[in-house]
Amino acid sequence: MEHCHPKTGLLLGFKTLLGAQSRRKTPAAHLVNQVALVGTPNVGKSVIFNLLTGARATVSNYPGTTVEVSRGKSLLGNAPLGVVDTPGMYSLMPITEEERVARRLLLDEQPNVVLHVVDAKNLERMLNLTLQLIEAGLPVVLVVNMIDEARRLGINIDFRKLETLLGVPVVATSAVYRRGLDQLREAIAGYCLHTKRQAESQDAPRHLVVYTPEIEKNILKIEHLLSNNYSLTKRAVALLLLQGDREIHELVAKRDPANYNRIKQIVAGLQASCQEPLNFVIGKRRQDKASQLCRQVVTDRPQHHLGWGERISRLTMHPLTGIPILLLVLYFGLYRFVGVFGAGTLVDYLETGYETIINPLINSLVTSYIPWPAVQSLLAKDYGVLTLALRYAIAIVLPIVGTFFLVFSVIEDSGYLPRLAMLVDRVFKWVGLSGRAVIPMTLGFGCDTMATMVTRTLESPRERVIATLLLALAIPCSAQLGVILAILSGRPKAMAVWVGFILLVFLLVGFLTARLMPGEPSGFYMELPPMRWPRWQNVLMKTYTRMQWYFVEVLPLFILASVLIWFGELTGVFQFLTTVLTPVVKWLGLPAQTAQVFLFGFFRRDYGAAGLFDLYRSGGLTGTQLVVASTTLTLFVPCIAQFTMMIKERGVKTAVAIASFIFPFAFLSGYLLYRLILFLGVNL
Amino acid sequence: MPVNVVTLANLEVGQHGRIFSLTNSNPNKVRKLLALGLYPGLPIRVIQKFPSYVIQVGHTQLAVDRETAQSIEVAKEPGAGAACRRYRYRHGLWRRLLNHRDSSSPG
Ligand SMILES: Nc1nc2c(ncn2[C@@H]2O[C@H](COP(=O)(O)OP(=O)(O)OP(=O)(O)O)[C@@H](O)[C@H]2O)c(=O)[nH]1
Ligand SMILES: [Mg+2]
Repeated sequence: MEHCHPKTGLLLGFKTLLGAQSRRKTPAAHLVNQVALVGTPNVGKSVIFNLLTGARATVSNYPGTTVEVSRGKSLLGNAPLGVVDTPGMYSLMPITEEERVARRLLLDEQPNVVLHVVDAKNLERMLNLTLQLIEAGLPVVLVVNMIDEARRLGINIDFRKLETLLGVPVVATSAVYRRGLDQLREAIAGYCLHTKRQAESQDAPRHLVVYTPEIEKNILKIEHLLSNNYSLTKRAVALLLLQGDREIHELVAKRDPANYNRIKQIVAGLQASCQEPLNFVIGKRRQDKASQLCRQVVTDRPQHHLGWGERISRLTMHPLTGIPILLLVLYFGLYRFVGVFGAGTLVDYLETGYETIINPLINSLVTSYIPWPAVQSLLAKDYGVLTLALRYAIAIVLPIVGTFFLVFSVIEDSGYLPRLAMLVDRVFKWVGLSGRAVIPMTLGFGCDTMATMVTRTLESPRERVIATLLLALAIPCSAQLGVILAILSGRPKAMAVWVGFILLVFLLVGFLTARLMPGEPSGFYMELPPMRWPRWQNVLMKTYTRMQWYFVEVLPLFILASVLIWFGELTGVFQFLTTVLTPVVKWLGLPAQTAQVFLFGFFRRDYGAAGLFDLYRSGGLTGTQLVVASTTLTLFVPCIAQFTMMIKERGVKTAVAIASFIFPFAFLSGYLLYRLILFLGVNL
Repeated sequence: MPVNVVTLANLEVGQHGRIFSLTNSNPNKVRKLLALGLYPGLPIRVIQKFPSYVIQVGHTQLAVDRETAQSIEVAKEPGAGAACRRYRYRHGLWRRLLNHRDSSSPG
């Protein structure tokens, strides 16, 4: 069954939505019961997913954490239960790419139960989507999460009454404290057992939201023109058509080609008779209903003082206090912890251990037990898999990546990132991005490959391309960053030059791209979740999962790189490439050995960084050379993993265009910087 | 447009009112604001204006840029403006940052 595999599921989903003629199986035809978690971003869907399945989906305190559908298994009594976590969506009419993903899932896979997770503090705002889901005829369970926070704010909700008013099960939960899970499971079980009967029942549907007589009349007209081909109710399809949903329009044009023109006329006619956009009129009507429901079930006691979270929040957002706070976070979090502690102390410790104990041991074992020199140098010696690849991965990359992800997880879970987005929005506008791009950009300091995937949360294709370019060009990944911070930490002037130059490139290239690329800049809007204390369990788990992900990703590539270099050396190709690169490197005023570092960098950014670190430790690089090498290596081509992700997310053409711009640009910038330093005669 | 209706961008920090309408030539932008839950009639308050706008609607805080703020029209609650300006002059920045009470929040 295709929904067992996320990638094919998505792909097929897209096709089904846009073209396939046959109606997919009815819910009752599923072999395994399926539960889908949907709802607005940052309401706790992934926490609930993890609790139900025991999986480790990423949970963080900002909207847009989940960007891909994740699937897990659970048990309902003795029966298996499939659980699907989706990216957040604000309404049934998607705006960003990852919102589309969630809707496609609902349309194509027709889960047996749809858990609509909402934030109890903002019920009024979120019921709008509940009403849409019920309208669409989906088997909804309303999960009112975060009741702990709502209680603290003095908000009380009459859940039983809400259940009666909505006509769907309502469950109150506090997911991080594991409250309400039993009731949630009961509600799911209730639906799964009764699915069959409900799917077959042809009761006249009860309309929770009644629109204006004019709209209702036209809904009926459109309903009559629609075939039974949709997994949503005809009423919902008619409403989406009236609201001008492009994807649904395309779908109807495909499935009901004979009637589509007539439908288009009806939509246009109704719009012409309305002063305001239909989308607005319909949405407003639904919101009025949501507000009315809330007045019946919610009691809110006004608060008379600001909590600690709100105070800290305001300090981080006010420019006078926010900028110093940002600098402190960068200094302590990034420089002191990742640069000095992770890349300095930890790496030193591990490297020394590796070089004094493990490597000599391996070398002597290999030389005494393996008679063939070629195999000897594959496993050990200068570029061996065991002595170089493993050492780079374990002793250099892992401690740096680990410390970075630890800091990053704490920052993520506190809710600081959306506030930072708000603070830098104006600067980011200048480079063609919006504040929203802060999240992929900061994640890029961890791993540019992960970050390239997260650019999906950006609104326009234009913004996604600019973000992908800047990630590939000017954002060093944590391994590069750690190594560079460590080797420049003793030289404040060199560090300033590196930071300044990279920042300049970021701004300049962003600025020019934004001017040259067609399209409008996107607006900025972002929800600011409350500041929360990071929970250490979540921080540690996230750090661990990311390190594991990274390690599994990186180790085979490191080994591959090692083998390729070994092969290249055996056949002379490696020496040849090094010789070709040597003049380029000389041109930058760097010693010939750095050619190797750049070759490493081709395979993985971090591999190159580790190579630079090795070179630095063996001494022999001047301050200027360190700065020029660091800068060129930072700007240098994205590594293979990132490039693959760029192709996957942006397409081959864009990815190749970006890479072929970056390659000469990095060396040219390195050269200019080198000349500039020489010209000014500064001693770094 | 009634006299007490201004765009959000013209409200002072601490002032509040109710969303009156959403005006933007780009229907997509309006759609986004609606999706975020900014429907006419809801109480809204300005928390910060620079470098971006921070607004509170119900228990939700949103950050939006100036352009977006200009497309939200707000009907001011009578009297709130004057009270707020007094408040601003009487208390220093630190006081305001740390103690800005929510007691003035609309009912
Ligand atoms: N206090 C409290 N916090 C919660 C609760 N449930 C979730 N959270 C927090 O809410 C934040 C968001 O949780 P996620 O599970 O990542 O939210 P999501 O709905 O998956 O978000 P997206 O993936 O962005 O759509 C995290 O910081 C959680 O710790 C709850 O019941 N109480
Ligand atoms: Mg999630």
